[in-house]
Amino acid sequence: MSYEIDKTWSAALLDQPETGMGYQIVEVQIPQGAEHVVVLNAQRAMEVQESPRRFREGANQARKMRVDLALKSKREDTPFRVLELREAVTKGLVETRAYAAGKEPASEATPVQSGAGEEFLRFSAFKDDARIDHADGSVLPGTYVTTQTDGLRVKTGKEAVERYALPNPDPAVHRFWLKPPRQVQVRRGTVQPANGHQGSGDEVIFDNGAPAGTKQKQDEIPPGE
Amino acid sequence: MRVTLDSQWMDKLRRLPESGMGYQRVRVKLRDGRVLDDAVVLNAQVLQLADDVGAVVAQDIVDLELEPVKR
Repeated sequence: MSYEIDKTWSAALLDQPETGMGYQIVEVQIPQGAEHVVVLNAQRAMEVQESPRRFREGANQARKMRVDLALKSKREDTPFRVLELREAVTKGLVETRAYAAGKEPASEATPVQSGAGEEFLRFSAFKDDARIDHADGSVLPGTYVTTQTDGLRVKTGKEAVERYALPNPDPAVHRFWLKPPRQVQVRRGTVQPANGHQGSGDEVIFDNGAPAGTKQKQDEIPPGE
Repeated sequence: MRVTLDSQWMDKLRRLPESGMGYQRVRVKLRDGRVLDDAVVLNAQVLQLADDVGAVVAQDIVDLELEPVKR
C-alpha cells in the first residue's frame, strides 16, 4: 500500500534530485521533529507497513501519521529536503531492496545454471569458514559467494565488509577461491544496503551447494584501515 | 557481545541457508522466555548480540530459527 501525495509536494520534489533510481528519501520537518518517508516517482509515498523493518522500529507511529497527513495536504511552507543515498544509509534508513530499484538481491532472482568453468570468491573473517568443507572442497546449500570479477575488486578485508554489507565489522580477510567442477544452480543479484554498509557488490547463492572439488584454494588479503 | 554457540546449534545452522555472505539472521529463544529477533550468527557459530540484551551464555539458548527474508 502506498498513497498519493499532494501535487504541490510532487512539484517540489521534481525540482530535487533523486536518492536512487525512481525514488527519493525525503526528510520532512514537522513540529515534533524530522521524519523520513520514501516517495516513488515523486508521486506516491510508501506507507509505514511497507517500509523496512529498521525504518519502522525507529519511528514513532504518531509522528509517521502526521507526516502522511502533511504529504497529502498542500505543502505550503513545510520544510523538507531530499537525502542522498549515502546519508540515508548512514542514518540507517536504507536497508532493503525497496531502496535499490533495479538491483534486486539474489534471494529474489530466478535460479539459473552457473557458467561452465565459472569461478567465484567468498570472503570471511573466519579462516575455518563453516560453509565450506575444507577436506573435500564442497560448499553447503544456501551459501553466498560473489563473482570472481567482483571479488577481485576487493583489496582489503574492510572493503569486503563494505561491498558485501557484512554485519561482522571484523575485516573479512580470508578469501576462498571457488570453481565448481560442474555447473550448479545459482541465483544472482546485488548486495543490498544493510548493516550500515552500502553493499552493491555482486552476490550469488549456491542454491544446492557445490560439489567436492569446488574450493581451489584460500589466501589472505590485508585487513585495511 | 558475542556468544559461541553449542554444537547442536552450529549443526542446525549449517543445514540452513545463509542470509548473506558468512552470516544468518536468526530469532533466538532464551530460557528466561525472551525472544531476540533479528540477531546475527557469524560463520554458523558466533551469535552477535546488542549490548543492551544483557548477559547471555550459550546454555541460555533454547531455540534458534532463521528469520524470514525481509521484503
